[in-house]
Amino acid sequence: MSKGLFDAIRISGTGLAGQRTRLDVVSRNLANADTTQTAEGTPYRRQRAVFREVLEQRVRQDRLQRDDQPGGLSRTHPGHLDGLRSFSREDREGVATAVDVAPDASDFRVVYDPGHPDADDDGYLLMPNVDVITEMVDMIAATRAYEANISAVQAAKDMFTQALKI
Amino acid sequence: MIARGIFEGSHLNHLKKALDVYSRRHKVVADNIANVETGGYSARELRFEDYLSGADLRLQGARTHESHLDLGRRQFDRVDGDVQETDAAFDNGINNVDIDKEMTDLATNDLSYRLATRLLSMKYQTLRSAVRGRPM
Amino acid sequence: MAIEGLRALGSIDPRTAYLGQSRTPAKGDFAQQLSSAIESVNQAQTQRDDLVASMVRGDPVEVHEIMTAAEEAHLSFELMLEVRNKLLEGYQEIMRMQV
Repeated sequence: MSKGLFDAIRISGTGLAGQRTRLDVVSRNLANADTTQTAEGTPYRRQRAVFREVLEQRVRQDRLQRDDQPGGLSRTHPGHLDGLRSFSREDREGVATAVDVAPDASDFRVVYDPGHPDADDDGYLLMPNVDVITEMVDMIAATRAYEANISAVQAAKDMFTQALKI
Repeated sequence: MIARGIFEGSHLNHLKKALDVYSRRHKVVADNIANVETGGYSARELRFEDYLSGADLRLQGARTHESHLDLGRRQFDRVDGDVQETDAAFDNGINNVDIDKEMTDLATNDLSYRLATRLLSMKYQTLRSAVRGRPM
Repeated sequence: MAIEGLRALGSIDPRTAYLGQSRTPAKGDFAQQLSSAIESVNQAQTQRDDLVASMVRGDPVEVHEIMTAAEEAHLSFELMLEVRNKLLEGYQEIMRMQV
């Protein structure tokens, strides 16, 4: 409804979701830091959260009907823009964030541990490319970024409430 | 003469309906949040604004666009919000509740409610001035 | 006295003095003063009502936009009331004089 401030809140929401995913990834990495055998037969490969910006185009209702759906409704996914008949009165654009979870391509760690059941004939073992310290740092960063987004939401709410006093 | 100027339009109704929508929406969002970890739960939303595409909110010269469906020709007063399952695809690992979206919806809905309340109060204050015949 | 009363409207409060100035210069008669005020009220209320309608529909309306419009509609209405009341007072003064 209120373009600027509500959009800001919504975009902060995508930031919150992104940081949450990032935290999930950290948890997964930490849990599997010593996993030498996955279903694929390789050690666990570290995952990372990749943030990318999403240029949203929301074509508002009134203004919008999907060809295949009577009384159809607008949704934010850019993919839905195809095949839409629109009399757009207002295109709402925001730059939100979205997160992809992608494998970390760096090499597995080679560790000398002849006693390990998965060690090769020379006693060497491939371990996951997970560094616990790196993960902890990332976890703290994600938490801080999450808090920052919360602050942004709060600021938008405060501004809105101030305007009510006009 | 003055009274007619005040009661012209049913914009009091707009605000009252808006308040109704926002308070019902609050409940729906709160339900979603409460059930964020409930297996089998399907996230819901209260749709209302989307139904107003054809209902002209201005009183004079209601215009309808030919390509709007019958749904759109309902007058504003007869349009009510309804609760539907969201068609947004999201998976939080247990169900399709997107907690961050729900939290931000909660915030924006709360703000909308406050704005509508404030506007309604201001309107009543104006009416009070009119009734008293002098500024409050 | 009636004439003074009307002009004094412009200096009720310096901060809102501009509100007392009607769109047409203040050399009209009393009826014009009042109908100017009424016209301002109608404009302001229409502006506000349009924004409220947009808001309820879910159109993007900024909160400060709608709040300033609502406040201005309210203020211009109250100003009109004051104008009318001052006019009535002035009229009553004049009627008393004729006796």
